[in-house]
This record gives sequence, C-alpha cells and structure tokens, in this order.
Amino acid sequence: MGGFLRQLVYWLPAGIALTDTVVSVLLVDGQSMWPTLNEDPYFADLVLVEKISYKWNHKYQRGDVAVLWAPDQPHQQLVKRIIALEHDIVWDSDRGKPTKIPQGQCWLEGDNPEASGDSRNMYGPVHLGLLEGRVTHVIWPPWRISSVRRWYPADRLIVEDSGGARALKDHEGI
Amino acid sequence: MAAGASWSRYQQRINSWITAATENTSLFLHTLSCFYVFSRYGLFVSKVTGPSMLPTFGGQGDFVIAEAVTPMWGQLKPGDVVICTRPVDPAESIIKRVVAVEGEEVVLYPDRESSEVRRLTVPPGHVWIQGDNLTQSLDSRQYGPVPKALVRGRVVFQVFPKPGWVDNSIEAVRRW
Repeated sequence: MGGFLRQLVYWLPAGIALTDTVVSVLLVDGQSMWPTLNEDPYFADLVLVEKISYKWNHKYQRGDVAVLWAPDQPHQQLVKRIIALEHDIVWDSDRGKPTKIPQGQCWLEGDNPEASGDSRNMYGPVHLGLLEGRVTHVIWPPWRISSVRRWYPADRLIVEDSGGARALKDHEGI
Repeated sequence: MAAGASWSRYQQRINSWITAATENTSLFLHTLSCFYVFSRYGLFVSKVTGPSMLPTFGGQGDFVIAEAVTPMWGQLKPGDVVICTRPVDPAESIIKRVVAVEGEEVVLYPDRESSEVRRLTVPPGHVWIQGDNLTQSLDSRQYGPVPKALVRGRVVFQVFPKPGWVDNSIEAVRRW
C-alpha cells in the first residue's frame, strides 16, 4: 500500500503537468450548450479537452467549442462556442447592432441561446487569453460518445477578417 | 552454439539498455513536471523588457522573481506589480502595476485618446493595471480592465541588475 502511495505522489506533478498543458477531462454542468453537450437531461457529459491548440499553438478557430475562465469569476470555468475572432464584425442580437471584436478578444455564445450567459448578454467580447482548451469529444455516458464538431453560424458574421497579416504592433515591447 | 550464446548476450544488453532508457526518460519527465508545477503554481523567473515600467525596472533585461500564489489563491491589491498574459496578444506577457481592484473607481483624465474626464468602476473579477512609465505604457487606460484570470504572478524580488525586494506598496502607484 505504501509503495502504491509513493508511486502516486511521484507521478502527481506529471499528472498536473499533463492535464494543464496537453489534455484533460471535464464534467459539463448546465444546459447552455444543449443539444451539443448535456443533451440527456439525466446524465452530465464528460468531455475530452485538448490544450495544445490554445496553449502551445495559440490557434483559435471560429466554431471551436472552448473551455474558458469566466471574465467575472476567475475560478469558474465556462464552455462556449467561438463565434467570431479578433477584427471580425459580429451581429449582436441582444443589442441589435454590429460589434467589432477588438484585437486579442473573441465572441462566444452557447448553442442554447435561452439558457446561456455569454458574449451576447453578459460579457461582451472575451479575451483570448482566458481560453483554456478545446472540447474535442464526448467520452461519457457511453451512448453519447462522439466527436464535437466545429460549426458556427456564418450568417451572424457581417465581415469576417480573413486572418491575414496582423496589424503592425506599434506598441511592441511596451 | 557459440552463435546462440552471443545472441542471448546481445539480447541481454538490449534489454538492459531499454530498462535504463525507460528509467531515465521517466526521471526526465518527472523532473520536467516538477519544474512546471513549481513555476506555474509557485515561483518563476521572468525577464523584463520595454520601457513601460521605468524607473522601477530598466527594461534592458532586468530579471525578477514572481510568485503565483497571490493571484490564484490570495487577493491582489493596488500597488502590486504583476505579470499578466498580454490582453491584445495571448501569446505574450506584460509586466504592470495594479492601480485599482474590483469595485474601485478609476478616474481617467484627458489624454491623447479623449478630451474629457471619464470615470469608471472596475467590474467584478477584473483589475486595472498601468505601467509606472505613464507616457510610454500601453495599459488599462487603452485596453480597459483586465480579467484576474489573466494575471499569472505577483513580482516580489528583483535579481538583476540591482538585487532587492520589489516595492508593492500602494505608495508606489504613479498617478501622473
């Protein structure tokens, strides 16, 4: 028993490093991403979250289902879909007007508009640095095992920045 | 028969090489993970570049030690020098000073961006950060309050060029 415990303590830092930087699992709470996630009202989905796209490559794509830290509660995680990225112009349905996403930020919405606190009604554009990982698959319960697809409502984007050269950073180093 | 004996010796050498390689790789990964956990949740070293924190830091390659405990489990307070993920570019880091925390009011005097006095309250979960070198700093005055989850560490000690504790008191906040 002591040997097993010693093994566990030995590999704990590796486990923490792995879940922080490569891949982890998350139990999804709430209905804001219904029916993509938590479609079954009696069983919360367990999802696989990969961290490489955001933490290593800093590659954020429209349509990703992202896990992020809530802007107003630094210890709370949210799961939302990226609708628009920096420099895009998105139609803000709650305010009835177009909004340009500032540099370094994105626009997130839950797939279930009625049950979701997101960029439309709570946060506005959200900093990309808050994005922790990308949901790739549902891994539990067994009848929900599937991959989570990238999809976004293209009609909501008025002008989609083609993601070419970034604007020259004239404040480099400041 | 001689061929058989030397083949099994060869196999033994490969096996012991594989065992040694596995142990060394496991030790390497364990050490790397310990370094990661220590620097992400404990103390880490960072290099300061840029003029935005003059005269506190020269910006020509100052090295500082930051702790990640306060931003994560404690309370940041006005005066704390912090290292954050850069709001306009999540791939980079910045070093600034906390000027106001959630609930406090910030007064913005006319500058090159606007010609009137603006007041705003720092929203929940955010901090207002500014560089000490107000004329040469891109900070909350331009990009607004910063969510606390972007703050990675609180700077406590300067290693180079002049070793010493970093002044995180509220008196160190530059207002003009």
